[in-house]
Amino acid sequence: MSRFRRLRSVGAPTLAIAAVLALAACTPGASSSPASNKAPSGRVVTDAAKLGKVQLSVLDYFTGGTDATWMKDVVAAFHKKYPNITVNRTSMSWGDVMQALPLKLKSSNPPDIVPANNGWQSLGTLVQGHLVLNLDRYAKSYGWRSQVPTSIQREHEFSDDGKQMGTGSLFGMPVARSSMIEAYYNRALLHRIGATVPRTLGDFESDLAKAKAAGVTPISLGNLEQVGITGPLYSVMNALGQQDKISDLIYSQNGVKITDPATGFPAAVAAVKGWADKGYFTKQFSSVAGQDAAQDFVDGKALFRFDYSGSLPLKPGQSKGFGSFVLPNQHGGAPVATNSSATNFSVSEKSKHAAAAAAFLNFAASKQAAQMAVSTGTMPMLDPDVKAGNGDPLFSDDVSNAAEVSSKNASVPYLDWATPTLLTTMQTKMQDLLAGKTSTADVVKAAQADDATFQAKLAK
Amino acid sequence: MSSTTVSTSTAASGAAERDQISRPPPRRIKGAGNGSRPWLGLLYLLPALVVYVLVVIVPAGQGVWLSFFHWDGVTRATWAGFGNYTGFFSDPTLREAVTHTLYFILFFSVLPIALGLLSAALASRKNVRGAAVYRSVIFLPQMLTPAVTAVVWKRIYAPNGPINSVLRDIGLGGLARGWLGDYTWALPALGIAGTWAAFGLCMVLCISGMQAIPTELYDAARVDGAGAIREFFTVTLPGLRGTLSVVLTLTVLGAIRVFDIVWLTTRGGPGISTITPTIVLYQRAFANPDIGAAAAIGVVLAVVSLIVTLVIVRLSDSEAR
Repeated sequence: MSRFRRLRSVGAPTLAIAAVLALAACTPGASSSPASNKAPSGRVVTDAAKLGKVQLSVLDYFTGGTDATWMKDVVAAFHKKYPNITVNRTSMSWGDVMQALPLKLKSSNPPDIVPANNGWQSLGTLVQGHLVLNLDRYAKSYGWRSQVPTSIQREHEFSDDGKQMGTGSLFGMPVARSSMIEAYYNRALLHRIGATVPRTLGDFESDLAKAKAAGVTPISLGNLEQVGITGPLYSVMNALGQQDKISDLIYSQNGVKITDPATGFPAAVAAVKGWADKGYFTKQFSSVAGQDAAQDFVDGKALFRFDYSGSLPLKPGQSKGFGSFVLPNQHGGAPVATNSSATNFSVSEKSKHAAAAAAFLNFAASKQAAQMAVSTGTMPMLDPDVKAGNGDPLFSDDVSNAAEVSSKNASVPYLDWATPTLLTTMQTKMQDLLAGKTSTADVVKAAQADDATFQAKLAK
Repeated sequence: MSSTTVSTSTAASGAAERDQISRPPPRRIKGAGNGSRPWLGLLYLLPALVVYVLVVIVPAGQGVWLSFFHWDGVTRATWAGFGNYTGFFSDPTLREAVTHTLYFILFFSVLPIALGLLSAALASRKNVRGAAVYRSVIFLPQMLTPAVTAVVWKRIYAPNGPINSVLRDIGLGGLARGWLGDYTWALPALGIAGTWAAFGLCMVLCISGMQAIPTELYDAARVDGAGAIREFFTVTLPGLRGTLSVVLTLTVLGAIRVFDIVWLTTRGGPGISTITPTIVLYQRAFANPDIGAAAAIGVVLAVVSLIVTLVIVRLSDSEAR
């Protein structure tokens, strides 16, 4: 026993040191990537039928439910249209995709199409590492720039050096499905408190007061896991701020700071705090699990709920009791929504079938794909003409919200795309604020500090 | 510890069983390879050693190497020196996380061992009817996946959960609160969940350890006029030294590594009041991504775990001699 131990105590460190020395030759991340993200020039083949036999591999995070159904339908329809192209899907959970994506793209045989998440945590870093293809020449040939609303295009844009977001070339494409933060309401409860669907922000706040007075929980919120607060916070920010300032803030353009009142952020933090103090959120929301709060809303225990489209745990037939809207803007005009495509699809830099991949991206963003989204009961995007036909009132609301935001070009990106750490910073500080442990000014200051740190890092 | 003592049957009479177990099993003495050709033994070890080096040593070396860089996982890394390690002193979040680890050692290790020892001592003094059933029930949390444990405790601590219902029913409604959302109570609440999960393992190991203590020692203590408590401290506790070092190692390492129950309930909140080093590691590795900083946390945790293990083993060894 003692003999073996002595052997080990010498052996393990020696081996570890040997391993480290063997590794010392290489700096992490220093692989042989192309030096530039500039788009190759020249026209491309846009008739996918002329591309010959192609096996296209696609990675996605549509592992189940309507997500998977839609993707399956789109793949089948694409193959039917272009029998020469076979699409091979691999589906992994969102978390797994995000963890594995850099390694997959660096491997010698990466998937042709990948779901890099917008923002700095994924797509921005991949652009900096030259791992995803500049899609500009395909955009030109297919006319994507005129087809996609500019506020959605910007979500997929980066400068060639990957140091700026929301400007420059397209490094990804949206699909014809929307992921949007909306306000949901309970029709029966709204009727009971004698209110109607709010047309102005003032209406909304008076509905909250009426509900409270009538003993109805005004807004369902469960913030135990820290994530619940983003829905209300972003919605109020969009209602109070100016759309272009919010976008510039998130894309770090034109020197807009999060402390700037025009972004709506400082006022939104204060408003959410005010609502919490007035008891407008679920009782003891800081200890309520997010799913429990969502279930309570579906069970008719709250008037409003801010949530991502398609996230309510509704059973078949339940949706007729509910409706949805985008929180009205205090400046009037079209309501602004935190909205992006249900996935961003990018093409691997190393893909040998970039033309076929672009043809698939084009198809996944088409009206036909939007129609398939509607028929599987998920929110469409890009095409305002697509209508819900199944007589489900909640889904009809969703589809018309999506159409309005799309046609009015009224999307802003998710605030947490601004820096990789902002989501954690905000969630933590908001919890502190709502528990009375810190001030509104401190939350804004922390967010600003987070942003400043990241800007300094980017500038290097 | 090498004997087959993890028997949980109480059907046999206690004395006979103890007698049987107290006799050490015959040990085969190997003469070959003793001194003459020491490298032959290594040759037998080689296949296992190769696998061990490939899956443990090399990645560990890579982790150490990565911890000296600022790296986002994609673009070219820049040399950081010990920059990622200074975070343990300068980063308030990480400092907070480290102090929480000390709390968790109390709840995941000290408390379950104390409770396990107590219940094992009680159980071994008298044959309780259906003791095996109790033991299985207490051991059950050990077999549940952490995800299930997290969901269960989320329910238990919910504002309308069973704890608060009971408090309200017995007229202590003023004490009812959302336990996991409370800055003061979230950490102890998660700690108690950890105690619950580790208690069974501690108890079962202690019982098996006690069964290995020769009955003669108890007889001798009784002849000398020792009572139950005296018996526990002079016979049982010293006899359990080996067992306790194993239990202590397992549970302290569990406390240092605690992740799932926190991530699946509070994500380190409210604020950062339940954050642990592993939560910070996860955030830096996969959300931020700042892989060097994450690797540095991993390296520090590994080194601390190693030191803790060595200290525990050394202490129990030296006392045994």
